[in-house]
Amino acid sequence: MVRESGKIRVLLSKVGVDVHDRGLKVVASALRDAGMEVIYLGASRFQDEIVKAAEEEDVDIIGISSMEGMHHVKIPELMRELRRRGIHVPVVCGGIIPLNEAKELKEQHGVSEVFPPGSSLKEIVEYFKKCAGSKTS
Amino acid sequence: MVSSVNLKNPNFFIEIQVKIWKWVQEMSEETRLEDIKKAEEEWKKICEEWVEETKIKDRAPKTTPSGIPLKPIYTPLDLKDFNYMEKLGFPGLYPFTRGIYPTMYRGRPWTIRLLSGYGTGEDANARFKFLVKEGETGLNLALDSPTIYGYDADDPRVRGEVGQGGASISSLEAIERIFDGLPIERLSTSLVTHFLGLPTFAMYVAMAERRGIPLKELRGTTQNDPLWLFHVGNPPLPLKPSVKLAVDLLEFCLEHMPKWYGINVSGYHIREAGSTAVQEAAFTLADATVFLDEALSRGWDIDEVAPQISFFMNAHNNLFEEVAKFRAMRRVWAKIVKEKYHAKNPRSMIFKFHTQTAGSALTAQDPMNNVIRATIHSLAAVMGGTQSLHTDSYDEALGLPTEKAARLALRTQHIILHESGVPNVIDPLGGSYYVEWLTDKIEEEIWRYFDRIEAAGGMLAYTEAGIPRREISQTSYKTQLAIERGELPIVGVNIFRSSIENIEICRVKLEQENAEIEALRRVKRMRDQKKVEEALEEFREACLKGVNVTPYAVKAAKVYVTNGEMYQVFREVYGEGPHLE
Repeated sequence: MVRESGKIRVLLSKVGVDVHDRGLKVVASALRDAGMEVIYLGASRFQDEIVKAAEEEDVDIIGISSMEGMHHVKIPELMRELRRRGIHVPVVCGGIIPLNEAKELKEQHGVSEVFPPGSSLKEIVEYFKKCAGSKTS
Repeated sequence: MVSSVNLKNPNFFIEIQVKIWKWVQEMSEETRLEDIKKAEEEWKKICEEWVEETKIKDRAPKTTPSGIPLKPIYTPLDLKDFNYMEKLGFPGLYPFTRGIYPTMYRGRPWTIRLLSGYGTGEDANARFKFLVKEGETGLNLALDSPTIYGYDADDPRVRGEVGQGGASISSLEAIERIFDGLPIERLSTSLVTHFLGLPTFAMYVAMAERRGIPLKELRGTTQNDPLWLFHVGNPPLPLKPSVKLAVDLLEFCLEHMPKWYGINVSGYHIREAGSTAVQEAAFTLADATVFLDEALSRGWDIDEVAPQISFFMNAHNNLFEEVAKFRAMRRVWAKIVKEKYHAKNPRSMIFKFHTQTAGSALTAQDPMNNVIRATIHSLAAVMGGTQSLHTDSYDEALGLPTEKAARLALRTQHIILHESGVPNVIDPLGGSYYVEWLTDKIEEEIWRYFDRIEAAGGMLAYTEAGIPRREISQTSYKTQLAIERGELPIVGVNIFRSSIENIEICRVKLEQENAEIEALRRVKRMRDQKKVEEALEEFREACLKGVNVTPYAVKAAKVYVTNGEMYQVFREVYGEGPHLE
């Protein structure tokens, strides 16, 4: 892994076998256009692949997209595993996540932010920029 | 309104009108086009004057969503060399532009088929029964992602995903619960397997045999198109074995199930991932040739294979571009099968398709607006001559359809069918200067893609090079940027925003998932393990030998070999699918 100096490194993935990654790809393009390095795992990735990539790629921030409604199980599981492995980078989620469940992900599971449908790429890019600096490990 | 505009120079308009009236009187058949041309020039002058005087600018988009340049109006001048018989002919006759059956909806309406399936087998069954009671005329089964990717409900890796986006089918027992009490000897079924149809299809066949229904009587479709998952998303298996396994199923249908479409080539997902209408049309037709080639290489004749391939298309926002797309696809497919594959039987040349309205066009914001969108999409499908139709529910940008929302989607089709008068005349937009011109343009664009695909060495090579994949994600990004810049208006999103209205959302709960897992565990305890091992061994050997694995899958399904177990064999024999960016 070669780190381009000063660039924010982002890991983007879905978790589980859900294939819907249109939104995630769009976010990847926007983050790249904003000068970030994006490691794109994309659709149909299991938790262990994401954790491994997060470790090996030394990323500053992780973005997880959910569409089919498995976030209530898959995202808390992923959060526990990341923290257990000592990976404390911010995790940002986006997709079809009902507001009450988004609140739960943030308050109970340590997700930094959840971007619901209608979030603009601009806000997402700004948030990633701001948040990537807050890595604590 | 003209009356509200105070024209500075009304004589200008009067003079031109008088001139044109004179031409109309003097017009002859020989000078018809010239006269129209002259009149059009005069009309353009009027437009300029109008804009000048009223300051009402032309704000309409300069292209269709596929990027085809648009003029403000179309006239006979745009169809100068239009040969009616060559371009259109009559429904049921080559090149089928106007429709694939002679009487179209006048004889039999399209099949009303709402995609459904979620939660437990019992939930999916109850929804099917509800929809049939409320007037759907075919079944359309959505599978959950674990089933599509070949993981059983009890696999810890897919915890939280079972029954979420569709029904979970791990074994024959699950599919029997889903179809319990449903007359599959009478209703046709579409199995939306998304990737390979094989394990699910094998279980469906095993179920039918247990019910004593002759296979030759079974009517339906298996999506069984692995190619789209190489264009978008990530495929569970490598490319060539996936094509091989898809054609195995098709071949089984050619031998035993004349009323079953073995492969349903999908443009829907390509479009949902962000492609244009033209890309959707071109990639889908090109994908279909891959399956034809594979089947022909096994010694089948084009007139045996082509009739048992069907298509699955998207109906999106731009009404006329969508209708033109369907019409152009019929014409292109007919030409491909006749001219490139030298089919003799016209039945081989017909482009039969199911339409699903565009989920990606639905908005989570102000979701009731989606009722109107789905109506427009459904109209596009019907005016485009679809054979069957799923209308999205208004709540599908937020979750699975509730019963209430699904019923409204059904009623949307019922109202189009019984009240609008649209189905009463075949291909009602045929002859529209605009729609005919646009149909021609889309056809041209599709052929242009075919030239590029051919130059790249065919669709398999084009797919391996990742070109469709790249183009689709580029288009999707461009679309999103256009929405955010306000160039592409979306009501409720970037114009006419309302405060968010809360609607009821259907969420699958962990208890439903647990029930499905428990059902599978019971099956695994009760089944004859020795028979399972034997069947799996035969199945594995068939995979290794390269023979058609379908009969072995059916045999395995009958003794409760699971979807996950069959996929595990696929993964061991053929390897995992590539991870594509």
